[in-house]
Order: sequence, then structure tokens, then C-alpha cells
Amino acid sequence: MIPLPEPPRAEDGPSSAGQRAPELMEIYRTHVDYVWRIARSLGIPADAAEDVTQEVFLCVHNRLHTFRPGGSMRAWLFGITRNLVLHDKRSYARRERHLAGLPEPQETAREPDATVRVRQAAALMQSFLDELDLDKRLVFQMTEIEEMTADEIAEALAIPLGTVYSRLRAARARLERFRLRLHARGERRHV
Amino acid sequence: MSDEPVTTPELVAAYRDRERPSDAAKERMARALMAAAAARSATVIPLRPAPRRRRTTPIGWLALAAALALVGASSYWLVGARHERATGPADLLMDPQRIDESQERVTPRPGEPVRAKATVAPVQPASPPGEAAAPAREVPAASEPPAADPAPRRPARLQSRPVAAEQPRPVTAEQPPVGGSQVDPVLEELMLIQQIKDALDADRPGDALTAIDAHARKFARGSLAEEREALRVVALCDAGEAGRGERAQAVFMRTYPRSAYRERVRAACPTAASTAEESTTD
Repeated sequence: MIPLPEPPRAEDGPSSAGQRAPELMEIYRTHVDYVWRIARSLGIPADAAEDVTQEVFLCVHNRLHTFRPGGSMRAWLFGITRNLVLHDKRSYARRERHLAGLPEPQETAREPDATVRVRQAAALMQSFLDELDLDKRLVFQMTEIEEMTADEIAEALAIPLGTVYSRLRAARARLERFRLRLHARGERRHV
Repeated sequence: MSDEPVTTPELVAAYRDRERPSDAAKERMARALMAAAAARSATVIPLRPAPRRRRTTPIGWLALAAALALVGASSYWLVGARHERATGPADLLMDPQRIDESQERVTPRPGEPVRAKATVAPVQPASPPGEAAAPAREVPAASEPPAADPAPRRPARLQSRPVAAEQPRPVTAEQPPVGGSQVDPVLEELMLIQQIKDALDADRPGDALTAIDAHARKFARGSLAEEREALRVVALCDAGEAGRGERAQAVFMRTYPRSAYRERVRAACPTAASTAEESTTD
């Protein structure tokens, strides 16, 4: 495995806190969900997100020696994912148009109430994220869901720190209005 | 969805739990990555890319500048040589005005000695080139070169470059600065021929003979030796030196029997031409 000159920062993964450099499988296990969600946020459909995620980590495997010591691993992964998605987006969009005509699969298995509630909450979050533009969506997702710091977000998106905060404020304000809208809809249903 | 309001942490947690690859997908991707890593470990991979050397850039610029300078110098020479050729000795000798002038001139020029057919000395066609260097009235004997250069025309390219530190030539004030050691020999030779032509056009055969002697000293085996000797015949005849002119004419006819200037040389000294022709045909 190709060693890194210096290990990434401690918040990038559990192995980076030690003295040895992170290996590919450690990076993969730590950040696979993050890469998956970033690919989904950038417009990759669910059935193609696995291919994109695997391609991202193969690229990491090939280019791990170029990782800048002291940099954010998640910012670096975001750059790789965005480049791959932009490169493959046309092919994915073309395939998505072909699959759009097919009927949606019906859920036949009966789910517990807790699972149904989680699934419905995830769907609500997905619908809220779809209302945001891509800039605010990425900042909100990196902050609230991926729990990245503002510095990491600024490095990943190559934007000033103040822009990160302003986009985050706007996204949170949109989320508050979204929640109020959901609450009002529930009140009308009770009446 | 239940009727209870959903909080933001609950939405985030639900999204994070649902929006991720399945365990089976994770396992598939992990296996693929390990296979890729195993395949890569069998190949030699440079840890760091070789740094690019940017020193080739100034070298490339220097090569480009040298190439441009070479092209510019060669084009300048070609243009200059072409210009000189356009007004060179060939044009000089084949100039119709000049031919008409020499052919129609039956009376001596004012101030020049009479040159009549009856006074022309008998031609000595078999005289060697050394006899043509007899003492003349206007040119000192020491500076008189052979009337015709017996050397072949081709070896001009094998001629050694003229020495710059040669003795000063008796040039006139009209002579352009061609004595520099950096002037191309061919160009300098052409310019000397041009001086001869200018002097003949100005009706100064003495200056033309001086320039011819200068050319003969510096370019004894020059590529324009044939043109020079043709001009010598014309200059001698114009200067009224009929005897020397006829001898030079005979030597020229013998040395260059197929010269393009043959008719021009014959017209310069018409009296001796017939005799020379007979001697060469016999």
C-alpha cells in the first residue's frame, strides 16, 4: 500500500489519529457513506450511486500519493466525486431518461411503524433538499448531515468562509419554513 | 407519517440512516477495491511524478532566434545577389544600347586618339597571354594582369577566400565600400564588375581598366573572370588601345570559344575580329 507522507487530520477518520498513514480500506470504510450521499446530492440516481462510489475509491487508490498532507480527506474526496460525477453525468442522465418510463416498484413487505416513520422522515428530508439549489444544499448537507467543519466545507467547495455561513443560514431558514409547512399540513388534517 | 411534528435532528438521522449504500453493496465495493489493490501491487508505480524540466524553453527560444537570424541573412544575400545579377556583366554586355553605340561608332570620340581601320596593328592570334601584359600608356606595367584568365570557369567554388589584409586597390571615389572582410566574396566580385560597367557607361575606360585590374588581382580565378576579360576587351578598345585590345580579344576568343559574350567582344574591336576568327578556325 502506498504510504502518505503525513497522516490526515484526526477528524478525517479513526486511523488518522495514529502515527501510521491511512490505508485504502480504512478510508473506504470511514467515508463510503459520505461519498455515496455526495454522489446522490450531485444528481446521481440511487441505482448508479454504487458504481460512482466504487469509481471514486478506485481513483483514491490510484491517486492517494497526491493527497496533500494536512488537508481534509473529505474535502479531497468531494473533489474527486464531483469531477467523476461531472464527467459521467451525461451518461447517467441518459440512462435515467430511459428508466423514467418504467413503473415504480411496489413495497410488498409490511414494515414496522418505527421503520415506516424513519423512511417517511428520510423522504421528507430528501424533498427538502430537493427544494434547495445545489450550493445551499451542499453546504447544508455537509454541515448538518456529514458534520463537517466550516473550514472543511470552504476547502471542499473552494469558497470563502463567510459564504459557507451565509449559505448555511439561508438553508436553515428554508428548513424552518419547511417544518412549519409540515406542521400546518398536519393541523389541517386534524381539523 | 405520524401526526407528531418532526424535529430537525430526527430528519437528519433518518436521512443519514436511509441514504447510504446497503451492506451488500458495501461488501461488493470492498471486494472490488481489494482486487484492484492486489492487481496494482504487482506493477511498478512511481511514487512521485517526474518533475517537468522547463529548461527546454529558453533553449527552444534560442534555437528559434538562431533560425530566424539565419533565414534573414540568407534571404538578404539572395535578394542582393539577384539584384546584382540583374544588372551584372551579362546585362552589361548584352545591353542593346551599348551594342548599338559600339557598332555605330565610326568616328573617334572627342579627345580620344583616332582609331581607324587602316591604323590597326596586325593581329597576333598566337600570342601567349603574357604578351598581352605589354606596357601600356595609361596603366603601369606592374599592374597589368594577363589579358585572359586561362583557368577554367568551374573552379570558382574551390577558390580560397581573398585575404583581407591585401594591399589597397587603386579604386576610385565612386567605389562602394566592399573591401570589408565580412563582405561575401561573390557579392564583392559582383560589385567590382558593376564598377567596371558603371565606368564604361560613364565613358571612363581608364577607370574601367583600373577596376578590371583590381578584380583580376583579387579574383584571378573568380567566377566572373570570363565577364571581366570580355569587359577588358571592350575597355581597351574604348580607350583607343587598339593593339592591346586586339590581343586581348584574340586571347578571349581562344580561351572562351563558346562564350556568350563572343559577339559582343567581336563588336568591340571589329577590325581584329575577323583575323582572330580565322586564326581560331584554322
